[in-house]
Amino acid sequence: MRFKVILAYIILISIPVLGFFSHSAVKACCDETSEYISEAKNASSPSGVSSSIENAARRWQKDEWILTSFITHEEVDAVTVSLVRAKALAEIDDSEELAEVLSECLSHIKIVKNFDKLSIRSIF
Amino acid sequence: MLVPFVRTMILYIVIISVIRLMGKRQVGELQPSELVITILISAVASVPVQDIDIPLSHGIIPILTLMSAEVIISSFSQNHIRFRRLLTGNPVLVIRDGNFVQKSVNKLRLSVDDILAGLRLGGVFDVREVKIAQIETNGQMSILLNDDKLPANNGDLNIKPSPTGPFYTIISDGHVISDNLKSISQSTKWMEQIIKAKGADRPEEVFFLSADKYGNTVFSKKEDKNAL
Repeated sequence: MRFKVILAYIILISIPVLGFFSHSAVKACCDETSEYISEAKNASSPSGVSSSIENAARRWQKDEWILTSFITHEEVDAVTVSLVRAKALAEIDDSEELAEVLSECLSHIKIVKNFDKLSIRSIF
Repeated sequence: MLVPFVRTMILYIVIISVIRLMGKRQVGELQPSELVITILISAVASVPVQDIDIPLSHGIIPILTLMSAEVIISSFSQNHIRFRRLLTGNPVLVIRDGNFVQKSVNKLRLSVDDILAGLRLGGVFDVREVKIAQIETNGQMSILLNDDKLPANNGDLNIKPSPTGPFYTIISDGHVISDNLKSISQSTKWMEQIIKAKGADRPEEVFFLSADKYGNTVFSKKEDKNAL
């Protein structure tokens, strides 16, 4: 019984601690990806736009497995798809639609970032 | 197809481990809090099993949290009577000296039929025979009969029965359970002698053999499959 109680305490303490670290990892990934997307939005040259989107996609892919472990796959996939679309639009230099897709991507990232955030809204 | 299979297997292993960690009471008679936990666990586990878009952690983390809370609360309530009473409530007397305790019956929102059914399940068909009947915290009814209706035991009848101990299964469907042989302080040689005396040459020919430490045995030889 003592072993079980100790194990229960360990689990009960480690879940919020791991939750804190996982949320930090999600936040870092979302913030950095958003930064690259903002860079792409503000870039003046097409090559600058492409490289920023490339960086954003790379950063997103790096932590995608962590994200899908804690966040519904639908939300994570929405960002991944937006980034793929943005990459394709940057290649054909369709700046008008690209701006729309990047904004869409930023709003998806915001959802992912706030997904596991402890707040009155998320609890209730 | 493989993903739901693997996810279900993982959740199955987690739930089995959790039920084992919560202890035997969980699979037997449930207290109110244990019933809530069991229902919640099964509901929580079913969501990620059905929807592969939901991360497995959304099932595993609530299950582990519920299990930990249950283990900690039950351990705490073991040492704190007031907390235990708060969590599980008190047994309630529903019959005293053959009469219904109406206040308790109303409080429990039970009908007379419910109580009579409980008595019948306990082997009592006449309420006048009951000295005390109470509803335990797990919802079961315990019954104490009037002194003149209690069954006589060996002590009352001054009978000294031959000693018997708990019976252990020694052979089950041809397989010898060595640990149980040790439990009754006997050897393999003894077992072989027993089965030979009963008409079997090898343990593989025995369907069931159980014994106690006083040498009492129950034996059943395997039937010939061709004869069936």
